[in-house]
Amino acid sequence: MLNHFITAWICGLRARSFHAVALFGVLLVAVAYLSASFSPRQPQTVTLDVGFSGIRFGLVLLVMFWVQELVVKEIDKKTVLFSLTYPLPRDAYLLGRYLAILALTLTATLGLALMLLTAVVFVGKFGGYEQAAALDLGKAYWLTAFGIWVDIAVVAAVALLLSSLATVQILPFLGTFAFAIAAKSIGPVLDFMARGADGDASLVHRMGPAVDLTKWLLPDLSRLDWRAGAMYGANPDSAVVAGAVAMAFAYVGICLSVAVMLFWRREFD
Amino acid sequence: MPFSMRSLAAPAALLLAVFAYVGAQRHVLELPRERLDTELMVSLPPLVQVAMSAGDRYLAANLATWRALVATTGKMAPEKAAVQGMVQRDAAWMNPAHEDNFYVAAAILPWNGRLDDAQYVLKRAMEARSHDMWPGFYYAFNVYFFEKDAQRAARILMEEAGKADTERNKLTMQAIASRWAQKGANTDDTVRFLKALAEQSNHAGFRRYLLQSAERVENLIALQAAVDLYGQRSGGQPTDFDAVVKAGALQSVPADPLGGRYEIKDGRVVVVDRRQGK
Repeated sequence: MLNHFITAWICGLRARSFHAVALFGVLLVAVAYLSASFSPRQPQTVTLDVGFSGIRFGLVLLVMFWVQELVVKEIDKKTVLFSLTYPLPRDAYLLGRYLAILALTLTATLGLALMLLTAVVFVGKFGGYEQAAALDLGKAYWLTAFGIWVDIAVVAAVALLLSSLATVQILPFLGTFAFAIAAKSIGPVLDFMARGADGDASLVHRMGPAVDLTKWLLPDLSRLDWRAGAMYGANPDSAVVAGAVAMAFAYVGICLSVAVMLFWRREFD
Repeated sequence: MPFSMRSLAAPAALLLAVFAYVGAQRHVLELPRERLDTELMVSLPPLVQVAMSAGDRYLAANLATWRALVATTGKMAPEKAAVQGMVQRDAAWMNPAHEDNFYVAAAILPWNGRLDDAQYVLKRAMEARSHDMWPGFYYAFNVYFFEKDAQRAARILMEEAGKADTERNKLTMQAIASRWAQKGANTDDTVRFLKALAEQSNHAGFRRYLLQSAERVENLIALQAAVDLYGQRSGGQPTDFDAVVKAGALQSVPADPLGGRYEIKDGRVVVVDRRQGK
């Protein structure tokens, strides 16, 4: 597994992905910095808020890109056969790649979080407006970054699952994107339904069963979004954090085991 | 090099294209431009807003608040105010603690006939922001000024004073609460309230709008006082300001800073927005 991890890590670095991360980071910082000017009262908070949204979304794109580069293209071009000739079980290939993608996303998350932190401090120092409510840029900030990384670990596992069964290159790409949006949206949907759907009883009646089923199929990734701690001092309980992380990694476990089973049976001719 | 017609073709085409471009561009630059309507036309269902923000409710809340902020720096027609109320309600649902959202709601919505929406946004912010006295202060002010319930407003303010960041702010809030409880409604508080809101703003356009709103309220207070004075002196109600000026109760009619016009209806001074025409 270590072999595959190292190969994938090097491939990931070589795939110009870090140029993409750096470019994305610069864009993110610029957008987050500019968005501060839209805020009459809390420019630093808005910078932080928009920055977290940007990191959350940008990492999904990066994971889609890495899975495409490191797994889907290999399967498509049949170069995966060379990798599988090593005297190693097939699951080592898949898990090695997954761990490499996790390591790449962790590095990207840390890099982007540092860039965003710089932008937020910069807005605070040179923005010309001192906002009343102070931010928590210490523990709460890094906890939020950790939550984003766990979120992306789930998305990466789903991407790998889709690529282990897909015979068309575009399927893992689109499927991962659709999953990421649906799984991030399921929390607000459940909240909306629980609050009576703005008084629309027929909507609750019609969509209720479908939503009840979907909430078991999709993990609620909005539970991993802890930015309210850094922005408003509303830190989540440790039980909430532990529960959400356990849910996320259990889902990763499901995806990876199904992916390994499918990969074992797959014929590449 | 032998002369050929072909070698002239490219420069000739360039020359022709430059002429055509200059001519067409001159025409295009002079075309009248349609003014962009920055006010709100529609409000999307909140779940659509979340989906369009890639499932990120915080981002959706930010986008909704920006829409509200951009729309409110101008004059507002009643139907646009209704959409604004819905957009800000949605933002409060997506991120109840959003500071700009409750601030813009407090500064705009009740003044444009959307008190319920403003109070919903402020109530959500009061619950979500456990260390911030401002949503509670604005909520209480609306109860005091718009609902005319000084006693209830004073009670809310007393409770929310516990969230003040400094002892001085806490004492100030308690002092305001006791003044409301004792003396009831006072229009001068409105001007002070709007000016205080403007002072807290980092956004130049929004600050200007709030200061203009404060000036409008000041004008309304001064004009109403003049109309009342006219009534006391002559025993009748004036129908327009000319009569009030001629009677010496008023020097001149000030211009409305937000582009409206002041009129007298049944002894009360009202603002007529030019675009609404009523």
